[in-house]
Amino acid sequence: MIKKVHHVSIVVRSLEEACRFYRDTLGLFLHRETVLRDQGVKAALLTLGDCEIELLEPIDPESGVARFLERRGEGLHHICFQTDDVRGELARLQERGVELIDQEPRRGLEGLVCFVHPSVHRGVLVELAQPVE
Amino acid sequence: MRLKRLDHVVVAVRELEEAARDWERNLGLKTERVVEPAGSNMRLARLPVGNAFLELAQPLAPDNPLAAFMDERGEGMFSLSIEVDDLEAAVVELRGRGVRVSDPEPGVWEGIRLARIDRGSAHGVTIQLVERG
Repeated sequence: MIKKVHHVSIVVRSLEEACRFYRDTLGLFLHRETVLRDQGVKAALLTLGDCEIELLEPIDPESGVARFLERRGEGLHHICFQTDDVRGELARLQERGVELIDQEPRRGLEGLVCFVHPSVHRGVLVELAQPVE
Repeated sequence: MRLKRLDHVVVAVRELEEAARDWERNLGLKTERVVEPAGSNMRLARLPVGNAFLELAQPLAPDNPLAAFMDERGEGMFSLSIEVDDLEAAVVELRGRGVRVSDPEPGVWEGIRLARIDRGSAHGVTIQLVERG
């Protein structure tokens, strides 16, 4: 079962510049910065109530995020929903025969995660995440 | 100014009922309400998730910011709505920091007033600040 929005992700050209707006101007608390080599991005996580704003800057020009930036410019990239059973959610989606980016949950920033193809929810890239202690 | 929480995420869609059915079948997100606010030229569905909600928004006329967005980018995530305690104070504070923000106005959902931060200021994201009365 989907419990809540875990985060909303925004692709930006420069984390530093975007942090000037989201952290300094809006006053959101930056609680984590990290590099995700397998996805070719640097990420900054800012707290917003019980969820997060995730800023992503591509560091690999071949990454999906770099291609998104080139094609569409800066903007909203995906929404992540928190579940306590990512395998169960994935099994339900597989049973429905919808297009998935990950057939198996994998380790992501937020625990066990998987991505659902944006065509499934009419242009919205959906991530499902099961936080792991 | 304190940003309290994510209030809702607006998703631009062409066929509201079909989109709502996908979100429910795939992820179990149920439509709580569908409205066509007078004068808005939009049909909206509200799908609660955690203490936020997804708002599916279908433009009913071509001369509408949502329709313009879809012409440019297709269906997908359109804007983030973030709750603040004091909308007027937030607008004054942000303008003082050089951010372009619209004047506060009543929102389409009852009890909400909102102001829009310009997409150019927020790295390609339309952010609505909302105050609940």
